[in-house]
Amino acid sequence: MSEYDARGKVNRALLICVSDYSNLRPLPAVKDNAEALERVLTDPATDLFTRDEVRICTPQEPWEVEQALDEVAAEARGLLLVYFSGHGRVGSDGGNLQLMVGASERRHKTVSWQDLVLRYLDNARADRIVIILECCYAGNAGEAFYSSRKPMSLLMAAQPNRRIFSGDEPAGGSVFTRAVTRVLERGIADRQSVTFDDLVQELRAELADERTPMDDAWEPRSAKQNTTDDVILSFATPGARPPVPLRIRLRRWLNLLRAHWIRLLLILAIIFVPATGGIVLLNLPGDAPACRPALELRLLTAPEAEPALRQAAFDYEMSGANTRPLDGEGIGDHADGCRRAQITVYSAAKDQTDRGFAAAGRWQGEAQGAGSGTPDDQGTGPLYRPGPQPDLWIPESTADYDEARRGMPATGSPAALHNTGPVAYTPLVVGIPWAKRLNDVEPADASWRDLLAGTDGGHRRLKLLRPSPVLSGTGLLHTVGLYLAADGTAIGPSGTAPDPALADRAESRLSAPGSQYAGSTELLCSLRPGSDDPGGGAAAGSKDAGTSAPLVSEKSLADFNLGRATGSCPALASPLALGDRYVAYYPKNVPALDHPLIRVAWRGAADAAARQSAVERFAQWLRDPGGGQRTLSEQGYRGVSGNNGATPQPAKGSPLLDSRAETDPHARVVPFAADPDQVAKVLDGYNKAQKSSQLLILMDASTSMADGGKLPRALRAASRVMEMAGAHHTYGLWTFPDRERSDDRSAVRKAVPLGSTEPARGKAALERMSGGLVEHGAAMEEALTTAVRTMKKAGGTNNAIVLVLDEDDGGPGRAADVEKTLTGLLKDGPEVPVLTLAMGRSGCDTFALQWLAGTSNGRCVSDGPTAPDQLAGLVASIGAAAKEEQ
Amino acid sequence: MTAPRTTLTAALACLTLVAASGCTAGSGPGPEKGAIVLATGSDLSSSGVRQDLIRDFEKRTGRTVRIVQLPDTADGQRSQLLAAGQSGNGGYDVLNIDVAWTAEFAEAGVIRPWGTSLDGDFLDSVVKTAEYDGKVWGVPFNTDAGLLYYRKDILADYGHHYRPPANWGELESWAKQVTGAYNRKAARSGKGQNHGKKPPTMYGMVAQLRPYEGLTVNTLEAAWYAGGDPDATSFTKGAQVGSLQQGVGDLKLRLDDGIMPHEVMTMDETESRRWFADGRALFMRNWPVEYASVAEKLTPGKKFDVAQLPARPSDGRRMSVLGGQNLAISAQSTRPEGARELIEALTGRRSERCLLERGFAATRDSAYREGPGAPTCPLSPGDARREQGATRPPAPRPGQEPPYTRTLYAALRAAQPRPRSAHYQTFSKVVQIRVSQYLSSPGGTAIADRLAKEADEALSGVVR
Repeated sequence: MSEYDARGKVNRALLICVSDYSNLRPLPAVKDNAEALERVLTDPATDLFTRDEVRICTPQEPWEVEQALDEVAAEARGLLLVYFSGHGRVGSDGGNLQLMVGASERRHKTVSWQDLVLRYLDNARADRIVIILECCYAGNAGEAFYSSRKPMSLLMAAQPNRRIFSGDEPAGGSVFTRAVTRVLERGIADRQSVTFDDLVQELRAELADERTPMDDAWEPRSAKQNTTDDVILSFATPGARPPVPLRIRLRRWLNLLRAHWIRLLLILAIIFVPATGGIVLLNLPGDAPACRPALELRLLTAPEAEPALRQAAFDYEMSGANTRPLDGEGIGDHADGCRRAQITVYSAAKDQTDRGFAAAGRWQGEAQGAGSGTPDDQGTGPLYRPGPQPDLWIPESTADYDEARRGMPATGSPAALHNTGPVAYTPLVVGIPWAKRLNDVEPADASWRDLLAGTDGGHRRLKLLRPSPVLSGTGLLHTVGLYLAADGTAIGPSGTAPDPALADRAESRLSAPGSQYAGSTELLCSLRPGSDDPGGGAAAGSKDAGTSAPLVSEKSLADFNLGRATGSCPALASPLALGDRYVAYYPKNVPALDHPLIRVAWRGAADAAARQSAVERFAQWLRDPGGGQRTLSEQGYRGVSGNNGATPQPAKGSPLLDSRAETDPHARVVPFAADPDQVAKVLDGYNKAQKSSQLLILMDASTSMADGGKLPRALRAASRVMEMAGAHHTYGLWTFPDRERSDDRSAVRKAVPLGSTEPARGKAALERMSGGLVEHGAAMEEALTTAVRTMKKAGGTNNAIVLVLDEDDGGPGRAADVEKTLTGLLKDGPEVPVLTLAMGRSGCDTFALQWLAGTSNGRCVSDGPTAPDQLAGLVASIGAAAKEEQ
Repeated sequence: MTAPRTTLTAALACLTLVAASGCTAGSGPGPEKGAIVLATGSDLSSSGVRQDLIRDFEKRTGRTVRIVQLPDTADGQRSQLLAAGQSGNGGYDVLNIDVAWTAEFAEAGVIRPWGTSLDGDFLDSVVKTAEYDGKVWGVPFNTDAGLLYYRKDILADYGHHYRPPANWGELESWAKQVTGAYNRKAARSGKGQNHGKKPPTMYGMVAQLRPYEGLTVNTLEAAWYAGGDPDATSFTKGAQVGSLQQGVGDLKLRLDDGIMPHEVMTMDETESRRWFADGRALFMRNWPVEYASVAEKLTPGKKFDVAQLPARPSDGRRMSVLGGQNLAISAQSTRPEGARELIEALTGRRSERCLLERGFAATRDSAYREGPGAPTCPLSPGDARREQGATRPPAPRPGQEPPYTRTLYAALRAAQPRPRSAHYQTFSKVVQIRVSQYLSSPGGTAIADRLAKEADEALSGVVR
């Protein structure tokens, strides 16, 4: 089909826009239509009309339309474009379309489409006429149109007999015209221009999601008369623009010469301005539309996935995909090109997330101002931790989702969870030190049984380090794999329960003190060579790196080996040396972390439709190979499988393709197969395999604790530790110095007796502490001696002390034998590790605390944002701490 | 388009109501019921002067205030307040919001206009943080400005006794000269000591360049120093062109020249303070809030001191980014009168004096005044517990101000708000991602140019 090119001819565009009506509802959006359309038509990018060729007419009386039509019809020689936006009416039989002007009454003072507009246009001298009608019943214009004799193309905003629910949009023009300007301004991919037919086609796509007031699809219609070719309406193109043909440049030149010789001189002058200046001028953006704040989406995830998802969310925000109108969005809520969603990514430990969803009612209540958010007998509120009420949640695996669901009440929760399926995979791996690679075990195809054997005391003597299954999704899925796919066969059908003996055996291998960490990235960070680990303190593990085998994910192991940022460890300048790396072994048939995207709908949200649509858009983009999948792949994740179900290989740009990642890009991705019941049974098996434990929390209650906001942070950490308590894991809370016996250095106040199972009691005691600090120095060693003595005698298997300390004020005047007695106590009898949270100015970097951690086989954690979770991870490991390796 | 709409009438009716009563359900005639709900980050719920001021308000008025503890990160607080506001779900009366959020919250309809102008006692620079689109949206509660911390003792040892550096050029050349000489000397004398450990290297400067809001703050200050205009909302137009690129270029140069350690790219306020207090940096840009922690390890006035940030050579301005919080009335408040009363009490002259005495940067000029007629803090000294977010120790005697107060006052008056745009958050994300990329790249201005373009795009709200 030939295309009519009007460039350089004498063209006219008449934009008739009526927004203010004396007797009808005003249409404020129409005002913007005129401006937007004028801007686009005269934009150098569309390259068709010059500024003086576009007329705007805002008629009050019908004669004004008549006059304007008369003028343009007489002047135009090339293309004549007539556009009307305003109210329209038809007779009771659907015929006789009347365009309404400012002063129009119901039945008179109107502009007849057939008798006035078409008659004038039929006498125009232009080569081609294009008419765009945006009004109610625009679709009814087609009929009369066929009697005209000129080559005309007619675009009608909707199908016949439809009204349009539009015109109230506060900014940026009406929906239809916004779409028109968008197409004309941007052009169409792989096309060098936008023709009339192109425009019609694009509009149908653009308005596909809109509805008419009759609640059926909104479908623009077109008609042509006396012409078979197509008319070019814009030369904008997203691609490279072809040069303007010589004949058109000549045509324009002559036009200019004829009409504007002064301007010609100016243009000649501009030619001598340096070329770069010219480019800058041409690129100046037009007046940007004012965009309203985008819809705020809250994305909750696991700490391990947070950096990658943060990057993905940002890429989405800045992408064109984020400018498409959302369902439920009010017409004109956003101007053309405005971002629709903005995404805040945050993370929380798995148990906190579970608790949040289980207490969704309280979560919602706090957000609505009901109830108290301060720590009380119910513990810290969910709004504080996990944090904002998520609109979408991306846990590490479907097992996490199953667990959260299990904890939620069957009915009545204000949060509804919808699992939309995985967005990224990463297989689970066991990292084996490079120098201790296993003999006769194939890294990409080894069963757990072979791996356990190869790393045991008789062979490589490696400590297996696993993130806590309670705190981390990686830890949970690794446990599922250990229990249910131990022999390397696929996880059995639903109902298959883990063998308790097998769970016991597996757990006995995961028994080294400190073998559980809050998350896989923190675990790896603690193994980084040469890190002086400012947060980890005394016994932090880089010395253990060569004798440990971390149970982590392929992605985090690749990050570790390549020296990328890992947990709180910053990026290194280069990958680790070969001897410091771990080789990824892929336990056979263990499901990969699948990162399902869960949409969370909160009851009572006024913008639920828009929110749902925004989440779905983002989810769709995340799974798009050209969108989020690229970002996630660059971050080291495997993509979601295509339609053929094939396991996706790492894409170009993936760090997994770097041989120094020590991962195998061909290793299989096993989809998650266990059912919720199996996950529950695995956790049950895990709990049973854990020996019961007893914890004594010993808190410094001297007034120095109140300085610099230390107290709330210390209370928060202690409260986090109490959350680990349960039927098998009891605790007590002691504070020192004792107010009543402040002269007795070894006196402690037993705020909560040992053996308590309910966190609430301890939390209430902590709450009281903030008002009851003791004006006396804290003699740590003496108080600790009392505590150690009690715990050594307490019986049971897994006893530990959590010491929360500002400074040991007991140094001056300390009896000579105190230290000796404490040392003796710590070394004798059953092991009682002391886990210290150091709030003091030097953190763990003191001789005394290092000595304490070393002697008691405990750890020290310096105060900091991650301290509560680190401490929780260490406490989780106490459950099995007494069983010695080998 | 011809359908008459009843919603319009309803909206109009509602508008009329707004003028009268706030157009919210429940705020009908008669006294307001229930506690005033104040939503805030964690720092208000613990003990401290702001808490004491709230209790004082309760005692005087007989009303109760319930504090709802929001998420523990600023990003989380903003996200929750904004999203809940958009969903029509927030049931709070007073919001304690970061100064950078005013425009967005106003535009999104999360907060309501304050309605009256702020009295002339509030610092002019600080008032700007509460203004948007020609209206006042909140009342400044506490403010903040960046300061230059410097090692007075070491600089004096190497011949710079008289004053802190006047501009960044001077700072950089002093840093190179002094750290070079200092490290050589330490290496010579340090052998055999320190348990055979190498003494830590002294660097010239530390700041907050981890990709978080602190990086945006440091970037803006660098861009303003390089000729940027704090009131402009575009980095690609007029006199602004190039200021952002120049600013981040300066940061990168300080990194590449070894004036700043590589680790600075992982530092926040606390971590950079730790370096400075540990004697591993000669200069530090940080908030006054870290003063007390530094003073725990280095003697104030002798070993270290604070000054305003270096002056821009072209006009001598020493522009820091303004921090702090404003109190605003939630758009969905059902107790707007109580909310207003509470905000007025918390930001009154005497309250602001209390805040200053307890280590916060006050938002009122009168708080910094001395002598007769100056406001006094009504709280009893016994309430003086010390808290996070406030410097410490508190004033040696009640009624006195912390030692850096004069410097802070000058810094506050010269300080400027961050770009007041409804899309500030996106802008900040762009800065964080692109500037970190640029700083860790081998160089080249392409990323910096892209940054300026994307920053504009972010501020406009549009994807181009």
